[in-house]
Amino acid sequence: MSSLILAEGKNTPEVIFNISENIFTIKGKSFPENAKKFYSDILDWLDDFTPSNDLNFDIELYYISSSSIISVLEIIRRLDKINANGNSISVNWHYDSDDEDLKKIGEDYKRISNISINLIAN
Amino acid sequence: MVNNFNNRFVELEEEFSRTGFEVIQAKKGPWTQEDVEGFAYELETILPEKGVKKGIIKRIFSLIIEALQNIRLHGESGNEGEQSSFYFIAKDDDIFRIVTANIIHKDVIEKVQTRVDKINSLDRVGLKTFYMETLTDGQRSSKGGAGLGFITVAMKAKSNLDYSFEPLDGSYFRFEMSCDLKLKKEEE
Repeated sequence: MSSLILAEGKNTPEVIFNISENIFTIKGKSFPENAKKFYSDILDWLDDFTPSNDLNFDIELYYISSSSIISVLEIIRRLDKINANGNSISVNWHYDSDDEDLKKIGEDYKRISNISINLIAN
Repeated sequence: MVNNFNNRFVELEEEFSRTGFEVIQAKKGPWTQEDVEGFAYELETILPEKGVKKGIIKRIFSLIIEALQNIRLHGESGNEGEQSSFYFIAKDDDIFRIVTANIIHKDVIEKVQTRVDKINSLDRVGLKTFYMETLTDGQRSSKGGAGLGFITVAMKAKSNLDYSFEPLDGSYFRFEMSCDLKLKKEEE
């Protein structure tokens, strides 16, 4: 399986799922008009992903639109599913220390998923 | 329809000026997705110059993206084939007022009104519950929306969504919505 690398766009985040270096990050802004379309490649990639060791997904978004919030939840649910098969993935949810909204989004994900989510204030 | 929107635009400009508001940004549609991004990034330049704090700027940025994408997705083109619309961001000493307007077909008025009335009827806890239900339901419409737009606007503004429907012709109405965002942080 090859890594998934997407460069940051004007309204989409940088995505690095680098298998050989064990780096998994989604970073930047996320407010594409069609979030479902943008995130479909990422979700497809995760459907085929079988990790061989424990790993962390780092999500660090500066802006996130409501439709992207749903797409990121779908990513977290995919990771939940991978964990259910005996793996150990956790998510680091990074947010600006003065951004209550982003902190709350991380708390919401924590509440509705089984995966371990660490809230990290930058 | 274009005239109706232009007249209302001028009327609102005058109303803001008369009531002591400073208009920070006002644009008439139709807009492309690139326009929407451009307006939002423009705010990142304008608002710091007005001494607005980062937290409020991020919130207004998100509100505008949410509101304008909503209009692009759901705004009708009407009989003239143009997605007539506008928005205002205005500020006085205490609040930011955001007003948006777009064309809506008479057949969807009841649905929109029911949804906004429900949002307005909920207190903060109830609104959060409704948000979580909609989020976990995750059903997307054919246009890619997920029903979180109005809820997100109400939650970010922490205010009711005032609205009106003004008839344009037999089938179409001007849907105007406004919300206020307080400049001072409320107790959570």
